[in-house]
Amino acid sequence: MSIDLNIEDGNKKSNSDSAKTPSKKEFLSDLNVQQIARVFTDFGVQNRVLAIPIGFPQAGKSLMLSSLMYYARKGEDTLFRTNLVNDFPFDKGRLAADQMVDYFNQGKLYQSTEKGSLDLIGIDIQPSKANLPSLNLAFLDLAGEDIKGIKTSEGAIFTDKINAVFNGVKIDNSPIVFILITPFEPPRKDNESSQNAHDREDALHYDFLNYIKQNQPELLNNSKFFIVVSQWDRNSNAQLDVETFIREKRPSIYNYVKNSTVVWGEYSIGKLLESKIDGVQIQEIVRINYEYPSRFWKKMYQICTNKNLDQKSFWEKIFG
Amino acid sequence: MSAYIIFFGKSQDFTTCYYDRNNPIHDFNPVIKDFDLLESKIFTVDDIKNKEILSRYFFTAQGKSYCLLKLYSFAQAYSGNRIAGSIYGVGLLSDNAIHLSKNNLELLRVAKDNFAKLSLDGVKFNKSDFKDDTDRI
Repeated sequence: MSIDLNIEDGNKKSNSDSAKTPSKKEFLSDLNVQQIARVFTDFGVQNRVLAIPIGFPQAGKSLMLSSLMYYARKGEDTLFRTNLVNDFPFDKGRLAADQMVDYFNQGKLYQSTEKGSLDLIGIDIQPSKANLPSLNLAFLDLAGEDIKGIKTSEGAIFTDKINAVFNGVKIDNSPIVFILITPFEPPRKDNESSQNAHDREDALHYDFLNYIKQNQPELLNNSKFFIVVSQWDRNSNAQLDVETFIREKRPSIYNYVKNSTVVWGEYSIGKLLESKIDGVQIQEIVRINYEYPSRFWKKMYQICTNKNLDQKSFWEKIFG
Repeated sequence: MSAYIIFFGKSQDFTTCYYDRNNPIHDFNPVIKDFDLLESKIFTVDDIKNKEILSRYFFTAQGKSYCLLKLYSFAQAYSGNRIAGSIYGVGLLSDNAIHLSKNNLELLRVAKDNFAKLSLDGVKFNKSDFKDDTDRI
């Protein structure tokens, strides 16, 4: 096929057209790398913890975030309440969080995060107990396709925007929690066995951990790792615990982090009803799980503050 | 004048295959670093019933002006269950402004139809990696 294009006449170039376009609101992802990095230099001053879900395409990262945002908004937890931050640089993330909650409410699966996205969801956790500190979090929602760039065979580099985030965070050694999300059953490629898909998933996460250690070692000083096995509802073996699963199915990850401060956990957004209509797979969330997001938020609070949201006071311990 | 044809779709991961007038381009970063306008953020495919979308973008990358014309619609991933964001399509990219002409639209139409013929069963991808198919087109 030949590419013979009709081009608009004369010197009419793209920038002459863009001059007519009304100026649009700039979100974080629209900024240049220097400006992006500068935004993240403020996290130390704001006492804000950056949480970065790391999942490769179709790991369930966006769905887990949707479930967490839904719970944060609609859950009836008595131990804490949450506030979403509206202002820049969290404005686009706020829109994304609203959309996630809407989709979740309708039982629909939120679309995967598009390449080049840099949605920052600011969420502040206010414990009910007055003696516990509040926690300011920022979830950075990245596209699995951009994270996949870290795979050795894909060049082992992040996009310039992701590197800008790391460069900004490094200035004050602001804390980061990497939430490594790996699915219970990774999607298979053409003619791929289940074991091969597990091995590929294991290798991808190993490449990520290795990249951080080799290329961004400064980040490790203030980083914590939270390893989450998503789609745990697909597990039919009630005897299987998450650590055994990771040890057996993700041996590279397990060996890499077994001697570090790491938290394991399983996650399920709920029960899904699956149907096939006109050759298209349809999934609908019919039973929302409230237990996993509740546990996640509590664990997240504990990781970041070293305090328990449900800790009992001296008198409560005595009188129950 | 530079001109490229690009096949893209979420066959499993979001995949892009770039071609210039003569050859496939394995790494597009030297042309445009981290190019991310193919997976639409504004006119998104969010339902099976969505019709085809034709869009034209003018943008600047690394100090150079470009124009992207793309035609895309719904196609579900080979081993995926999502509806929203499931797309496949074809784009034309140039450093000149691409005319919304009959010829250009026909070029997109033929390329997209052939892409569908080889890589889709109905509205679902029949493979996780379509690169061999687009090389044939």
